[in-house]
Amino acid sequence: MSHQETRLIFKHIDEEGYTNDIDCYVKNGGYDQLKKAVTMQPEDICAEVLTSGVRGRGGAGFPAGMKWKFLDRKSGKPIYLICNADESEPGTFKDRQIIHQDPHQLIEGMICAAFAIQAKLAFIYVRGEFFEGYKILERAIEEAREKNFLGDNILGTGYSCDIIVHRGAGAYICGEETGLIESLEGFRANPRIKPPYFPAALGAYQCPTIVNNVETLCDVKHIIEMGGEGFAKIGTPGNTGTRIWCVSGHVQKPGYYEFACADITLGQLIYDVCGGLKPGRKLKAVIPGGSSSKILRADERFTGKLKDGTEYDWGIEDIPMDFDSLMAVGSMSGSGGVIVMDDTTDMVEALANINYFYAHESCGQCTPCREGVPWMRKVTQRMVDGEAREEDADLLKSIADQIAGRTICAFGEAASWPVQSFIAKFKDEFVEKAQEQAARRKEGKETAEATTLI
Amino acid sequence: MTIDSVWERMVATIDQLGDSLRWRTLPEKGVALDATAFLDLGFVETKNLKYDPAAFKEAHAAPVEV
Amino acid sequence: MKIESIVENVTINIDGQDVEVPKGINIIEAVKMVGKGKEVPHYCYHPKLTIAGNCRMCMVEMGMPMRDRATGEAVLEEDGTQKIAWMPKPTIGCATNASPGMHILTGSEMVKESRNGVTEFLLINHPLDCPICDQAGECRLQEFSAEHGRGYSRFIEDKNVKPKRTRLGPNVTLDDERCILCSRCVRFSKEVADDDVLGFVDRGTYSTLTCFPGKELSHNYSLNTVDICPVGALTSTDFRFKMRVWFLKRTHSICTESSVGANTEIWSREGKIYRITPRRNDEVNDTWMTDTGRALYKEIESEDRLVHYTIEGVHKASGEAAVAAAELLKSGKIAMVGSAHSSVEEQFFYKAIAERSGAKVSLVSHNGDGDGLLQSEDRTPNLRGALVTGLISELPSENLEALARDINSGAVKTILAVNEDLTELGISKDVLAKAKVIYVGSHANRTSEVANIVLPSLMVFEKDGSFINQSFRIQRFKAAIPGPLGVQPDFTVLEKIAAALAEREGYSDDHRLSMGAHGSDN
Repeated sequence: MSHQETRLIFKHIDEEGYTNDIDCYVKNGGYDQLKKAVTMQPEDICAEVLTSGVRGRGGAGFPAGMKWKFLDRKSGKPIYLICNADESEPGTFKDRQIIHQDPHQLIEGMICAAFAIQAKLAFIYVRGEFFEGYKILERAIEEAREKNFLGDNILGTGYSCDIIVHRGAGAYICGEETGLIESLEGFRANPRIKPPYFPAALGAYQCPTIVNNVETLCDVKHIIEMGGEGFAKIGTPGNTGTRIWCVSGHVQKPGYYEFACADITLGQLIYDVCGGLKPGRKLKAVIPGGSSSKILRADERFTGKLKDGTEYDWGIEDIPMDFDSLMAVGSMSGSGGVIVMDDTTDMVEALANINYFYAHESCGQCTPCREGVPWMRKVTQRMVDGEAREEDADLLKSIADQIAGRTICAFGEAASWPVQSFIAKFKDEFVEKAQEQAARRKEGKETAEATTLI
Repeated sequence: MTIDSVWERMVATIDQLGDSLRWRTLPEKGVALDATAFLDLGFVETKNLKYDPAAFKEAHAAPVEV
Repeated sequence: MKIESIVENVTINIDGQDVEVPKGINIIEAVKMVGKGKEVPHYCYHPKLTIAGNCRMCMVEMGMPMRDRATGEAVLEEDGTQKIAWMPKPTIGCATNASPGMHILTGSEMVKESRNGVTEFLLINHPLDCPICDQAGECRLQEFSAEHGRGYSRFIEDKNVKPKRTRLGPNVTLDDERCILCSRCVRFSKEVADDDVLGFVDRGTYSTLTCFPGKELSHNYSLNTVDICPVGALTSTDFRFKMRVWFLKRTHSICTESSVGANTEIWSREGKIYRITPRRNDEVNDTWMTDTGRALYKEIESEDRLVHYTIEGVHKASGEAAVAAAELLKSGKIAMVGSAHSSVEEQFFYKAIAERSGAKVSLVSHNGDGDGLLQSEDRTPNLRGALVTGLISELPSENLEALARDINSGAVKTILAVNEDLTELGISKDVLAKAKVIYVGSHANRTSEVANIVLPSLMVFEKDGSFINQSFRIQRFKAAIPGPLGVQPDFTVLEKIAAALAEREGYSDDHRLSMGAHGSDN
C-alpha cells in the first residue's frame, strides 16, 4: 500500500533540475501570487487567511488568521512582520529545506503577508547555524529586489516593504517569539512577560508585530492562489492544509514527507512511507511533534471524544496525523518532528538526552526553568552514570510539575512535558534501572556501561 | 531645655510652622511648608529626582487648598 | 497645596473579600494596601523599578467574570452569582493589574504549591551559607524559605559553583553563588542611576551577574544595589562581615549631603554607627540615597573632632563658655557667619542671638554640580531653614570678602562663626587676628584653632532636630548615638547665650517679645 504525498510547500524540493534562483522560480509560476495579492485589498487577504483556517506550523498550532486579527492597528505605530526561521526543535528539519531549495517561495509568501498586514518592514530571523541558508536568502532577496518584488513601490502599487535577514546568535530560546524579538533588537534572547508584551501589540521595538513560522508564511502564498476556502478543502475542518512530517529515529527511510492533514495515520507514516523499522525490531514509542511533545507508547490505547463529539479508540498506529488528533491523544503535532524509537531504546538514556538539551538551552531568566530543568538533567545524568535510585522517577515527575505552567515562556512546558510523559509511560524502566544497578553493585560489578549522550 | 520647648517657642514666632506642628509629632515623611515668601529667590538647584524648580514655583505661586 | 490627582477605584475580590483599589495597581501592591499585613511574597518586583517577572514567587490565581462570547452578557452560576473564569495556570502578581471584577486567590493550593516549588528551586544551588552571610536577618530568601520551604532538601546532586567575591566597584562586592538573578540591580543601574554597567553572562543555570567588560559599578548610587538585593549576593564592601543586622538599632534620620534631604536610617549598636541606608519617602528620595551620603558618619570618629568647650584654649564647662560667649557678644560690632548645616532649632537661636547682639549675619554657599538625582547643587541640608527662621533673608554669598573689609575698617570686632573655616573664605589669618572669634562647630579647622571661644557641636547623628529641604519640606531627625562625652546639644548652649543677651542693657522689650512669651525656661 503506497501513500501519495500532497506536495504543496515541498512541491519543488529535491526536484531534478530545480534551482533556488529567481529565474527558475518565476519559470515555475513564481511571484504570480504576489502579482495577484497586490491587486487585492489587504483586509481581504487577511480574511482569506482567516477563512483558510491555516494554523501556525512553528509548534503551537495557533490559527494564523486569528493572530493577524489581534494586531493593534490603532496605535499608529509601524507594523513589523518577522519570519521565525530559527528552526531548532530537535527532530525538525523542514524550514531548512525551504530556505535552501526554494527561498523565493518564502519570500513571496512573506511579501504577500507583509502586504496583507501592511507591514512597514519584514525580518527573517534565521538560525545562526544556517550559514548557507543565510547566504541563499540574502541572494534571493537581492534578486527579488532587482525585479521590484521587494523594496520601494513594489510592482508599482505604492506599497513599499523590505526584508532584512538577521542571523540568530545560536540558542533554542531565540525561536520563542518574544525571545526572538529581544534577540532581533540586539539583546539577550530573554522571553518577555505576557502580559503586557504580546507581540501583536508590543512586539519588535514596542511596535505591533507578527511572528510567523517559515512554513506558515509559505502557506500564505498558496492561500492566495487557491483562496481561503480552497485551501481549507485540504485536510479536515480545523486541520487545514498540509503538514511536513520530519521523520527521524529507528525507521528505514527517515526524511521529510508532506501530507494533507489527517491524510495519513502514524502507522502508515512509519510502516508504509518510511519503510518500517529495522528487521527484527518492534516499535516502542513515538515522539510525534518535536522533542518537547509528549511521548506516545506503542502499546497504548487512546480513547475519548474529539472536539466534534466523535468517539475514538485508537492504537498508536491508528492516530491520524493532524493537529487535533495528536492533541486528543495527549501530545501534539508541534513542529512536525516525528521521532521513532524501537525496542532497543533505553528510555532513561533517551530522556537524559532530551534533558541535556533543554538544560543547555534554558535562557536562565526565570527561576523554575533555570533551576528545575538542569536539576532534571543532573538526575537523569546520574541515573545513566550508574547512581540511579528507585525514587528518582517520582522526583523527576515532581520537578517537572513544579516547572510546567510557572514560567515566563512555553519553554517550561517544552522541558517538562518529555519528563512528565516519559515517567507517566515508562516509570517501570526508570525503577528497573535503579534495581539493576543496585544488583550489579552488590555483585561488585560496574553499575553502568559507558553511554554516549549527544 | 528640651527640643519640645524649643518648638513651643518656634511655632510662636515662625509663621510657616503654623500652630499645630510639633517636633515629636512631625510625620515620618515630613511636612511641606508654605514657601510663597521665598519663591523669588534664585535657588541654585536644578531639576532632580523629585524636585523641579519651575514646577515647584508654579505649584506654590497659585496655592490651591484641597 | 497640590490637588491630589483623582484616582479611579475599582472593586476586585481578594481571597473572597471585595476590596476597592486604584485601577491598574498591581496585585502585590493591592494586597499590601488592603490585605491587613498579608503579603504576596516576591523577589524581583520592586515598586520603583520596571516589572521583570522573573522570580515567579508572586504567583497568584486569577479569574475574571465570565461573559458570553457572542452576546457579551454575564454568565451566572446556578445561584445567580457571577461565574468566574479562573485561569488554568497561576499568574504573576507583579504583572497583573487590577481591573473591575478581577478575582484573586493568594493562598490557594495551586499558589502555595508554586511558591514552594520556586523556593525549592532557588535553594538547590544556593550555598546556604547564612551563618557567614551579611544578609542573614534581612534576607528575603531566608524569610520565605522558612515560610514556604520544605525544611529538607531533595537535591543530592552537586551544586553549581560560581565566583564568591567579585569586586564590582569601589563599594560593592558580589557573591555570585547567592545571586538569585532577580535583575533588580541591573534594572536599578539602568533605570535609576542611568549607568548601565551590570548584566548577566552565560546562560541558564550558569547565568552570572557581572559588570560589562571594562566597566565598574562605580556610580554614586552603587550601594542601592546592595539595599535592593533580596539576598546576600551584593554586599557593601564597607559593611561586609562587620556586624549582624539584628544587633543594630535603627534610627530615622536625614542625609545632610545636599538640600535634597534624603530620608535615612542609621544602624547603630552601643554608640557606634555601622551603616546608613535610605528610608522610603516618595516625595523626596523614593527608596534611594547616594553612596557618599552613607559615608558621612565616618567623620564622627575623626581625630580633629572638637570635644571640649574652651576659652582661650583652656577647657571649661559648657555653661562658663556660654557666659563668656554672651559677654563677648555684648561688646558690639558683631558679625555672625551662620551655617546651612545647622538644624532649624539651632538657626532659630542663632537668629535670636543675631538680633540681640545686633550682629550682621552672613552665610556662605556650598555649591557643587548636581547629579540630577539625589545630590543637588546646594550641598547643605538646611538653607531653607535659615530662610524660614529668618536668620537670613537672601541667598548666601560665595565668600566673606565683605566681612574681611569690615574687620579691616574696624566695623566688626567680634565674629561668631558656625561650622565655617573663615580663612578659606576670603579672610586671611592676619585679618582674622584683628577680631575676636567665637567658633561653633563639630570639627577643628584653622578658624577654631585661633578662636577665643570654642563651642563644640554635635553631628546630626548625635542630636535631635529638623531640616527643611529644597522643596520646603521640614523633616525630623533623631539622635542615633550619644555625642562626645560632655558635649551638650547645640541648642541648649545657644539658648543660654541668647538668654544672657536678652538681659543686656538697652535691649528693647519688643525684641524680647518676639522671642515668644516663654522666655528662658531653664
